[in-house]
Amino acid sequence: MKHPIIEINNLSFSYQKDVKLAVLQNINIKIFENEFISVVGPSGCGKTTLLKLICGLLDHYQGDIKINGSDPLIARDNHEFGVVFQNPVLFDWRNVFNNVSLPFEIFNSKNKSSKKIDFKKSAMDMIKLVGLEEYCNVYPYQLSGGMQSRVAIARALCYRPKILLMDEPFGDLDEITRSKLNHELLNIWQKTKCTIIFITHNLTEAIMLSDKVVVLSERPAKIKAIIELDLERSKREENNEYKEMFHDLKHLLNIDE
Amino acid sequence: MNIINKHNRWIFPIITLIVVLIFWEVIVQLADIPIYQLPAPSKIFATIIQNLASLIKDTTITFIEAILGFLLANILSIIIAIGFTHSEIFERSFYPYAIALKSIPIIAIAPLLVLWFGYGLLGKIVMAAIISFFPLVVNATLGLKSANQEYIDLMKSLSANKRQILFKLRFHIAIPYIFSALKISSTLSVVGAIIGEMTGAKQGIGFVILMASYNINTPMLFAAIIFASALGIIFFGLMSITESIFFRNYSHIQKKELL
Repeated sequence: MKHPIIEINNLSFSYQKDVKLAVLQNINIKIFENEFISVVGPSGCGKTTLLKLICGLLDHYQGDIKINGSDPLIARDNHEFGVVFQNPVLFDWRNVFNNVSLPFEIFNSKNKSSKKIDFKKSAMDMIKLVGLEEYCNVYPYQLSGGMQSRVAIARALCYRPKILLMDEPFGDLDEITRSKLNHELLNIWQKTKCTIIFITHNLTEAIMLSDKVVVLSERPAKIKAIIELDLERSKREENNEYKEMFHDLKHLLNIDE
Repeated sequence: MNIINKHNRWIFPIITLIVVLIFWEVIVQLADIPIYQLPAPSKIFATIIQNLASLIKDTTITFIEAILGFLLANILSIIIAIGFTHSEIFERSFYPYAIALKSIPIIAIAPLLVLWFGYGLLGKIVMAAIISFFPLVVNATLGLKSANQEYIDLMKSLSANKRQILFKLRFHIAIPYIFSALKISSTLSVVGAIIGEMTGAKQGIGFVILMASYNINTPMLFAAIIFASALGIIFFGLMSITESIFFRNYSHIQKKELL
């Protein structure tokens, strides 16, 4: 039996101590290594909150979150995961290379000189992985939205984390760029063999990309369903069963057609 | 109009100045205005030439007081702004006073400073520091706190500590805010030094102004005013140049014009 890399047990969370304001209620998920998990749900249901809890940005939750066996904050310090936020969150005053190598700078300035790492090659590898090697000296404002997202992904992968957490990373991009980046994301996922948790409100995206789709209910979010998708990704588009699944998902989320 | 291009944008203001000076000279001559009321530009110019060495010496003293006060204020206000950013209790206890003190006419405390620090340089430096302190402390706090939550979350997700968030993120975001305050407090520090000198001093351009006024030496008064103004403008210009050198690397970041 495989051991889950992320295990969430009975997770509940509310921003104030008031139960009426609960955001998440009794969430149970097990995520295994090298899985690609999408999380969908009505907007404002708490998808982002779930992600923030996993990466240790929110505290005071009930229940249990274990990432590779440890609490989120410890996992964060061990660089178990990289995060890609809704916006690229690039530093305007740093060029592409310096944006991508930011995590290493943080690591080096926290550690003694003996432990410091020479990050030039690692950062370059990540920049190559997202196909931006010709843009190293370019500043974020000179990049398109899609390119900015790639920089954010390269930065998140810097420490070569086992897990990549993504919060609607391509939400603001146009359809064409989006599907291109989705395709590239799958390539990156296969190359790096990382585990991806991908939050999205786009059902097609969820169905096309993932091994499992976690469907959350309206606030307070509970797990409505976990759908396993085992058909090869390239065949999903034409498959009728998957077309039905798309409608089932819409039904689950109460989206009128 | 092709004449108004970048290269000769100075021509029109200079023409205006020359016309005004000629007009002034002619009016004073024709109307026979007494020199203690309004000296002709030629008289003011002659006074400047006669007293050039002492005027430069006094202006330099004022400049030293202003720049030392300015530096003192900057160091303190950045440290305090960092404190405000990191401690809510500290901020809640003192920030309202920083805002309130900003609107107090600081001139009122000048005699007190003479009482405490005497007629020497120190009182003027303190005066310059006090007057240029508040714009920067308010702006730097605003700037340091204006980092978007998403950026802070990113830094945290990379397990950055508070010091790294301060130096790698907050300071960069705050730079435009800080520079816009530096420009304001550079001229204010000159005002502070002059006020200090006018309240009690034996040298400096403020002292020259005061003496000229007591002696009804109006040409000297004008000369001193011109030097004091030049000092303020030069200081402001120095800050603007520093800013533009700095902004070569930040050219794409919007300058924040606050206050």
